[in-house]
Amino acid sequence: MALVQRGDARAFEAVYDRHGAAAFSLAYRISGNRAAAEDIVQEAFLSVWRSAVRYQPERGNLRSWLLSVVHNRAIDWLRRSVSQDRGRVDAEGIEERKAAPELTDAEAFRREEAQTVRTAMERLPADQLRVVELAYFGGFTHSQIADMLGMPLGTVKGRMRLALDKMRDGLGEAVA
Amino acid sequence: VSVRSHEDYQENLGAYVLGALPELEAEVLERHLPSCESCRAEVARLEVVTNALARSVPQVDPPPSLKASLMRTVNEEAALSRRPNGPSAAACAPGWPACSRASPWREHSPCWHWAL
Repeated sequence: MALVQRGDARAFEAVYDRHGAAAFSLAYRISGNRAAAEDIVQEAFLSVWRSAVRYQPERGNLRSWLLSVVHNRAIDWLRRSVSQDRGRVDAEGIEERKAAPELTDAEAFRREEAQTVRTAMERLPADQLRVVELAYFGGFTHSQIADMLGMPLGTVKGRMRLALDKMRDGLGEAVA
Repeated sequence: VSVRSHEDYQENLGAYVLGALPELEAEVLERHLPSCESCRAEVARLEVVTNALARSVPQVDPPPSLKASLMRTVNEEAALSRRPNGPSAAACAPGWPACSRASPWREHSPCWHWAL
């Protein structure tokens, strides 16, 4: 990343090669729309390229940072959309990448990490998982979720917090 | 900061890290964070979960055209040696490059965290 900060396009390309698929996957999961996911990822990576000098590696993990940028852009895209139901993706609608016959150590680790997270999500009570998904992947605000589910705002906030606490405990050090 | 308002902030931290606070509420919370160590610590703790959520999604390969388009722009800008920062980047804590958006709070949200 230091080379990217000095304007090295080839180094930036390597960053994209390493993290582009994860970024696209997240954008697609949120937008449910391939064309939108491409726009979101392009915008996010260009913003990273143009202000890479501000990245300080000792302050955090590059992948988390990139994915947070993508998430924010994707949620903005959702909120700009006329209908938040437009193109919403569902689990069976996603064509997950086939497992490569030989995974690199890094890929194997990421798959294992993703599975750990999914397991932690599956252990949540359904009402807590619902509010987390509506917020994080659906881009809905807490008050929109309260309206949607017909429950007090305080209940929605409480469920979000409980879910995050449980997941944090469930994840342990695996993804910290 | 009164006890009551601090509790209000605490109550909003989950929605905040999930990106589910309305813009104005998020901005109010972000003004509180620099002066509140316990809220900052809690956000950092909860952000581990949102970082994990981002990595949990099914992996889908992007089309090659995406990289081609992205790198075309990047190579052009590298050739011109132009590295413009976004208009509001200077006001943002270092470490989060995308804080230069028109709708700043979402990408601003982790800024304080990285400024510690």
